[in-house]
Amino acid sequence: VENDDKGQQTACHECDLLITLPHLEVGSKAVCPRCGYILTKRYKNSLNRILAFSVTSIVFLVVSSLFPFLSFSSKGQDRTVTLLQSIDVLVHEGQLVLAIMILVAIIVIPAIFLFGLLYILAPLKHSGTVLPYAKNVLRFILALTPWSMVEIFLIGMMVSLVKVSSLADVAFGLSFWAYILFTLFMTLVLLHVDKIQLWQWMEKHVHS
Amino acid sequence: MYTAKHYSKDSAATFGLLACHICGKTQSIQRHHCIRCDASVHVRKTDSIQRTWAFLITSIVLYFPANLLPIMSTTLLGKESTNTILSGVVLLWEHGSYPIALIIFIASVLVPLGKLFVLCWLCLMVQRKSSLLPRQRTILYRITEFIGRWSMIDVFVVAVLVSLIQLGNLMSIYPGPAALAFAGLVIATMLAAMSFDPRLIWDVYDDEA
Repeated sequence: VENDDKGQQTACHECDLLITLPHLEVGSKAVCPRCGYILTKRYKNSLNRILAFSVTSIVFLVVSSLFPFLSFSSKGQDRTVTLLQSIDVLVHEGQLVLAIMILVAIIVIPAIFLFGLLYILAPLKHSGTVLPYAKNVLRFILALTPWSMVEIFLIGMMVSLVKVSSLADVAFGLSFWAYILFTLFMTLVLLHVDKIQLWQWMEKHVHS
Repeated sequence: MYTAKHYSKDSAATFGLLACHICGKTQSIQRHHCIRCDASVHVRKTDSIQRTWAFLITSIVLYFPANLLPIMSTTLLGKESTNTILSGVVLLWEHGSYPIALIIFIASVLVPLGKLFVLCWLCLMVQRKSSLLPRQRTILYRITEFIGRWSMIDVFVVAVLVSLIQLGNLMSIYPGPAALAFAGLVIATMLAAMSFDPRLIWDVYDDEA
């Protein structure tokens, strides 16, 4: 998909400066001269990359919820949990709301985001078509992005493992490694997603 | 009630234009729904300052249970001990886990508190129609918005510990009421940051010149 920003007017999202976008080379970004906000960025091959990284993320997300996540042993007793079991423990401890919030932030929202992105971009890439409700889907998933907390969960998990390591032995299951890779690829997807570019791709195919 | 009466001279609004916050499409200020993506569009976020204050007050109210109530309790060989966020940090520090203590202290204590102060200050400056350091204030807002989600770390730490360490009387960890209050605090501060419209900082940009 070629670049068609040149000459397009836009208002800075954070200071409302009226800006005429220059031609953007691959690998460059447009920054607001008044407040420094990054208006839009262009990665090499971004459509293909977003598709590839999204599919990879989904595969690792599925793997990370199917197999043992972590196991923990101390003084002859041990315990192995999967990712979903660990959320279930919170429900049993009377923290239903907290459990739902965590499930939504680390699994549900990322999954909706990734499937939504594929729903929009896969047909665009394959045959240049836009599926019904694609606009609504894109609007919805863009609004969801701040609530995806995949990478924060990963850091939280690392911190708790360091805390636990003095008390007992912790072993990592297959799903643990899958979750790390899921986090990595999900971060790459988010890095390549540029809302202005996404809407330009859609607009071009709607009208052509 | 604060309403932006005028805009800075280089602002899109001065030219009768607005950019959709969802897709970035530039269009007439008179539109209610975006011509490209159908999202509802506004020149400035609706009731930005009032909403930000509302979420800030919610955050301040939640700040107390989040910090005063226990976030988790630990049973070790039949002996139970409860910890608040701050006493947990102190305990980690005493055990020599300095990096972890610092991460938790920054993410759970400094960031939420800093965020509350920064957003209150940003709101007050807009209400006073101050034209002081607009670029720096915008950058400060950007940092605040970016960093806020990271406070969730402690909630996830408690969740992982609770789900993993369930060996009855030998060693168990249970969540405390502060965990939910703290998650609510982080969500309320995130909503406060999202409600604030940094463009209000720039509406009075040319007033002194």
